[in-house]
Formats: sequence, structure tokens, C-alpha cells
Amino acid sequence: MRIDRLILAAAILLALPLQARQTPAPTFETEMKDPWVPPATRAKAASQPLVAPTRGAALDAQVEAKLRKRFSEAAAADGTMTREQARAAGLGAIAERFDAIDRTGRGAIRFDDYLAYLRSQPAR
Amino acid sequence: MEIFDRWRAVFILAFLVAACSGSGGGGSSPPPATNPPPAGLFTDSVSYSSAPNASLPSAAQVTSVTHQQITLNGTMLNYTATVGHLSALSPSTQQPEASFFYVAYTLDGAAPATRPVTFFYNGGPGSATVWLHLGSFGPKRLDTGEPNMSGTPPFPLVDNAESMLDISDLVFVDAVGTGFSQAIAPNTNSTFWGVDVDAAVFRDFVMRYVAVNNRTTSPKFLYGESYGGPRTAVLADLLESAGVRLSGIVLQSPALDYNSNCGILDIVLSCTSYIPSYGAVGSWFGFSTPSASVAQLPAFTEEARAFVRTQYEPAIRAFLASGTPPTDAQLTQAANVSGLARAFWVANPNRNPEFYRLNIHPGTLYGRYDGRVSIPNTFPPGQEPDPSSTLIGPSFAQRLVQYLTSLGYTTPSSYTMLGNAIQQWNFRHDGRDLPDTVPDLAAALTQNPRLKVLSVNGYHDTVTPFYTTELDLARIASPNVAVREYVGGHMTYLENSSRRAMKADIVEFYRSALAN
Repeated sequence: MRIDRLILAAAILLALPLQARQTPAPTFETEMKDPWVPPATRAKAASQPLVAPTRGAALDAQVEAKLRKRFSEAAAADGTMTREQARAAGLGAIAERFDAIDRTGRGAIRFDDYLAYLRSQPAR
Repeated sequence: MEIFDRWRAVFILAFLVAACSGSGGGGSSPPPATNPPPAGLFTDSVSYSSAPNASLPSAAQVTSVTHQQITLNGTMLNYTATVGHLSALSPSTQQPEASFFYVAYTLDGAAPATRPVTFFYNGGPGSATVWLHLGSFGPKRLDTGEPNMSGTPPFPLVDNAESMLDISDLVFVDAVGTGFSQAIAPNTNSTFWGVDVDAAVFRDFVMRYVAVNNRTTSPKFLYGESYGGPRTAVLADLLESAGVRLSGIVLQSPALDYNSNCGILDIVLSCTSYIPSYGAVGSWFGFSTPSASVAQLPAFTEEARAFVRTQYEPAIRAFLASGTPPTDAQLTQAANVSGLARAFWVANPNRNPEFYRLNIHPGTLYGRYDGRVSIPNTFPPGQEPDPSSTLIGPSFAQRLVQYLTSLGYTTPSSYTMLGNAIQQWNFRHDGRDLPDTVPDLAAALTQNPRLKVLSVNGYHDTVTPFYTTELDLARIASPNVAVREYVGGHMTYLENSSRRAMKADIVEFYRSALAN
């Protein structure tokens, strides 16, 4: 009888994790509707002048502006950047290829050096 | 005595299951389709919330690890399933900023330097990654029977013969405020609800995953669906800048430029890039004149594209600018291609997708995500659901909980399939109210000219139409960018024949991306 109880207690203890709390049913807070934007966002966007999609030189200029902005935010006031500055700003791609970008070996690069490096990469 | 025997049986069973399971697993595991829940179920006691102001006090990073098997192309593969949380770290402070819930499948014994790893996520914004996880290329998939869905829900979860596990490790990760992913104090979920902040925290998750799992040298791929497309474009630019080189990107039905999709901005935008998709749906039901068979869709849609490009788009531009209607012949052609009655085109020649699905056939309601799915329209105007979504959602929800439990993970929290993030999302990006992420993808390609991009799209998707995506991606004009169409809706992978075709194309895409 006592052994039965011991086994019973052990069984319950061992079985408990098996009956772990069940994960409740998932939640749908909204219906599936992407791509969708809230009415206020939509109205504001619709009130703006239409912008033609960029391509070719205009798209290239957008890409360059994006990269230039990121570079400038991490560079020193005079527009130069050392490997350490690149690393500190999280620009790992520049930090890792710093020597290839810094063709004059000054230890500090400008955005134009970076751009020249990017343009020199093989196309594919 | 009977009672005693029963308890003894329970005891022995409990002991045996406990002894056989756990992280050591290995050789003697039963086939995955019949795997019982492992003993010592890991109950994640943290309570997760998708509320905008929700915040975890600290980062718990516990995972349930189980060993599984799957047979792909006649070869049995042993793999490890890891379910749980990993914290993204802020790059500036190295402090945990968000706790990401993920499920990772990694092939046992593979060399990390050559074994690719792919990160999957859905969109919304506000959607968990349950659709890609249990629908596309994971080791299990929900057999929905799309588009007829004639089975009894919940649809069964079956072994996935098209899993990508043979070519890549797979990491399915939920965005902050979806699934069981949540911000960590002092951040709240809504801290990460915007185009740029969301992509940045995904970058931080990817970098953390790579660092923790020694995957620095592994070829890396991204696979994003729908809003996960623009997320991928922004994320790819951020990762390349951070020094994480990507090998390839798969964009599943992406919404790359919100400013080109008239389903978002039908007030001002031309809807003509939807017309080839209307034609595919109209053909499916025999409403188009002539209606194309599935085999004829490539030629049919090529003609539809040409009609839009050379005639209807210029006509609609004139209509939107000055109110000049298209010619009678153009209106007739729009009606013939789409299958939507000519009178509707005469009344408004710039028909949006919602009007199309509600009016193509009186009394019938068609799907947005998959126009091939239809139900009787018994709903009050303005309250028509999307049957292609509502018919699968509950099955995905139910099977997900059972499946995570079978992988040893339970929690008292409710998994957020679709959260409300979309209501508060900051859609601003690069100075515009709505994101155009084509420049971000172009910036990623500029930084890494070896990066390859594949966009996969459904002919019958009237949410992110394939021709819109083709036009978006054509802006980049790069030989590294390819677009493919398949039979089916937004989630082409739910269509069995298309999932097989996609898998073959993705295998080839990975091969070519890795050959660089």
C-alpha cells in the first residue's frame, strides 16, 4: 500500500511536466490585409504630388544619396573617416575593406574614395 | 490492483518517454510524422504581449531543442529543430533591445562555412511568420488543398517533400509584436513599428543569430513575403552596410513600392498593372474572352501586359489627368481581358481590385490573396471577408500550437498571428509618406554586386500583382534580378504544383547565387 502510494506520487510528479500547461489558442487582432495603410496615412499620402518612379540615373542618384548620408553621419566634421570610425558607426563593410578603399594609404577616406571603390567592383 | 497497474503503466510510460527524449536524441527517434510530444515539455513561463506599450523587463533566451528526421528526394536527413527566443542587441549599446521568437531547422553534421542559412519572415506589417513557416518550405506544411479547400478544417500538417532543408538551414522569425516576439525595456513593441526601425531590429537579430551560432562564414539568404518584401529591401541595405554579405534574396509577392500599388492608393493611382492579374482570375472562372487555360497563362498574360503597356496605361494616365476616357475599343479590351462587365469599365475605367472581386460575378465573393477562391456573397456591403484568407487562418493557428508543442515548446501566452502593429506603423521612409524600397534594394546591389535577387509571384494574386512587381523591379535593370510567376495567389506555395515548381527554381537560384 505504501509502495503503491510512493509509485503514485512519483508517477504524478513525473507525469506533471507531460501535462504542461497547454498553449492557448493563437490570436487574430485584425484580418489579413497587407499591403494596407491606415486611412489617415492613406489620405495624407494621396494628398501629396505624385512622384514618378525613379530609374536609371535618378535611381543611381538616390542610391548615392543614401550611401553618402550614412557615410557623412559617421565621418568626422571634415568628411574623412578612419577604419575605427567606420567600425564604431557599425559600417562593417567599410571597416573590413578599408585598405582597398583607402588607395592612397592615408588612413582616412572620403566618400568619393568609397564611391570609387564601389564602382570598381566587378559587375557580377 | 487494476488501479495500481494503471498508475504503474503511467509511471513506466512517463519514465520511458523522459529517458528517450531530450536534447541528446539522435539515432533512435521515430519518424517525424508520428513524433509524440517530448517529455519534460519546455514551458516558457514568460508572458508575451503584442500590445503597443508592452515591454519585457529582461531577456530570457531559452530554447527547446529536438532532433528530427525528414526524407527528401529519397534521402533521409537528420536535423535539429530549435524553438525559442534570442535577443537582438542594440549596435550602439550592445544591450538587448528585443526578444525574437524563432524556429530554426539546422542540418546535423553540415559544415557551417558552406552550409547556407536562410531567414524567413512574413509581412503585414503585424503578421507573424506562421504562413511561411507552416505553408512553404519548412519540414512540415499545412495541406490546405488550395484553391478548393474541400477538406475538413483543421487541414492536416504533413511532411513537406519540397522542404528547402536539403539546400539550406532555415530560420523562421517573428517580427516584434507578432508571434511571441516582444520588445525589451526600455523599448516597447511600438518602438520597432516603422519601416526603418523594423528593418534595423531585424538586422540586429540576424547579426546576433549569426554570431551566437557561428554562422559568420555561412552563405546567407533572406526570404520575405508581402510587406516582408520592402522589409527585405531595407534590411539587405542595412546588412550589406554592416558588413554582413548576403548571397541571395527571395521576394515572395513583395510590395516593394507602396506608391505603385493602386490597392493601397486607388484614389490617385493607375490600377492598370492589376489587369493581367484580373485576366488570370477571369480566365480561371471562364469569364475572360478568350479565357486562358493554366498552360496558356504565360502567353495570355504577355498579351495583357502588352495591352496595358501600349494602350491602357497611357489611356488611364490621360483619364486621371484630364478625365478623358479610354476609347471604346480599349474599354472593350479591358472587359474582355478581365472578365469584368464592360459597363463597369465604362462607368469607371480605372477599376481597383476590391471592386473587381466584388463585381466580377453577381452573388459570388472572390479572394483577394487568391482570386481562385470563391464563396457565395451573403455579406453586407463593406463587410465582405477574403475567403482565401479566412478559410486557412484557423487551421494555421490550430496546427501551429500543436506543432510547437510537438517540438517541446509550450507557453501560457497566446501566439499573435496578426497583430495591430499596422494601425500604428510609421510608413515614412526616405522622406516619403509611403515606402518605395526599390532604391534600398538597388543600394544593396551597389554595395554587393554579387547579390542575386529572385521574386516569386502568383498569377492569381490581387494584392501584390505580379505585373506591378515586374515594373517595380525593372527600375533596377540588373541582370542579378529575376522575376517568376506561378499558378496561385499571394502564397503560391499553398498550390501543390506551384510549390514543386518553385522549389526547383529556388534550388537553381541558390546554385547560381552560390557559384559567384
